[in-house]
Amino acid sequence: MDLKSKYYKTWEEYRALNPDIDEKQAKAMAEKMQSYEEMMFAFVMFLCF
Amino acid sequence: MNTKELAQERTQIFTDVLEGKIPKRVPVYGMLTYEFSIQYAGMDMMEAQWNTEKYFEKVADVICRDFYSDSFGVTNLRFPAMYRVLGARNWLMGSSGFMQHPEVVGLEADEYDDFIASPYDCIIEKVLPRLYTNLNTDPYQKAITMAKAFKIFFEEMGRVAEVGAKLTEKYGYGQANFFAGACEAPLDFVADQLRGFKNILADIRRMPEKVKAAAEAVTPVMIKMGIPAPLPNSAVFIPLHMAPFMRTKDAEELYFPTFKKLVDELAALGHRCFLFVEENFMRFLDLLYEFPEGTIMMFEYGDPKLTKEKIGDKHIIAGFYPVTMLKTATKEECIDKAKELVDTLAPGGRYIFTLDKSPVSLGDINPDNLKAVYEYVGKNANY
Repeated sequence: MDLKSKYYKTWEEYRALNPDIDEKQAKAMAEKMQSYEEMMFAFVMFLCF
Repeated sequence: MNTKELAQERTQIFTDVLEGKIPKRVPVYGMLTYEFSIQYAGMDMMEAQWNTEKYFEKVADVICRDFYSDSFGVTNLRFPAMYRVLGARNWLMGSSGFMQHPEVVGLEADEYDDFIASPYDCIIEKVLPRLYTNLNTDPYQKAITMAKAFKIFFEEMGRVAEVGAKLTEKYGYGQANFFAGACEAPLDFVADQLRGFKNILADIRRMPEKVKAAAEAVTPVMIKMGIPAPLPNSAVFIPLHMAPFMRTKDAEELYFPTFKKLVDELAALGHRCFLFVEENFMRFLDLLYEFPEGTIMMFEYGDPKLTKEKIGDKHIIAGFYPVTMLKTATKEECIDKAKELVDTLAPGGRYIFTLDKSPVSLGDINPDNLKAVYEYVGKNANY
């Protein structure tokens, strides 16, 4: 799903905006960071449901 | 049969229906609101609404004890604490403790272009501050409000899931998770809390191209919103609103294309949809037939026989049982109606027994009639 927004970033987009994150840390944090992004998306959309 | 065996049998009848096989018997998918359930359980509405950590399980347990269902069926979606923290204008608690949903406008007519350019940005920047007064303030207050509301939302949703799992085990319910995800038909989303019912009907006449573009723009957002939790026998709940209030030509051009795209795309991703076909969609049955095979469609009003004839070989039909009858008719008449619907809709499979909608308050029905109907179908609608 292609969602372009100032307020939602895929992990790849987030990574590109944060080049300071090294590979090892990126691997460890990717899933968790994306899950919070998805939770906020779900919450925001619920507010209009 | 112990609860484990019962759960296996119940899961199997749901699985069979969803796979297009004839099950051992017709599954009963009970759905009762938390508010109805609080009243039935004789608990204090205000206390139970605000303190779900103390009451939700107790209330749901009473429902599970007294009403037959093949799956856990107490729903709770409107959390007073969250809406209060947000300063909601779209969901308000009345003096009786019931949550009420007044008509709201989250998007002005001259903001269509912003919405079309980026629906999600527009929702955050323009719609939410209109629907929620505490998000229409300074950035610090907004951040604090969002943090509180976010916590309440996931805490309450987690509680519903946790209690559901616990009572599913206790009562030997089957796995049928038809609310594993939820979204709306794109035009309904634009209508419901963005433009409002009256405005959208005027927009359809005055600026149909904007309405169409808005529905198209929000379709990918609805697809993403609908992706369900990975649960067995899951479905994405989509309540349908506007089409029955539109001219057929308008519905064909403005409502159905993005709605079908949504359901098609979710199906392509492996997700089945559970459509709550509100009001009367009989003039759209041919369009519904074209949806992905095995879509669950719970009808409110219309002709069950015609529906079975037109879409029953492809889709799963539910609903049609008139909840109003449960208030006024005798127990025998209520059971006869259930027999009539089972005789019409069950042959060949692809049928799940549900009411045409959930009763909102205890006064809407005679609970003994509902118990008798669920019990009758659960124990007698064998293939």
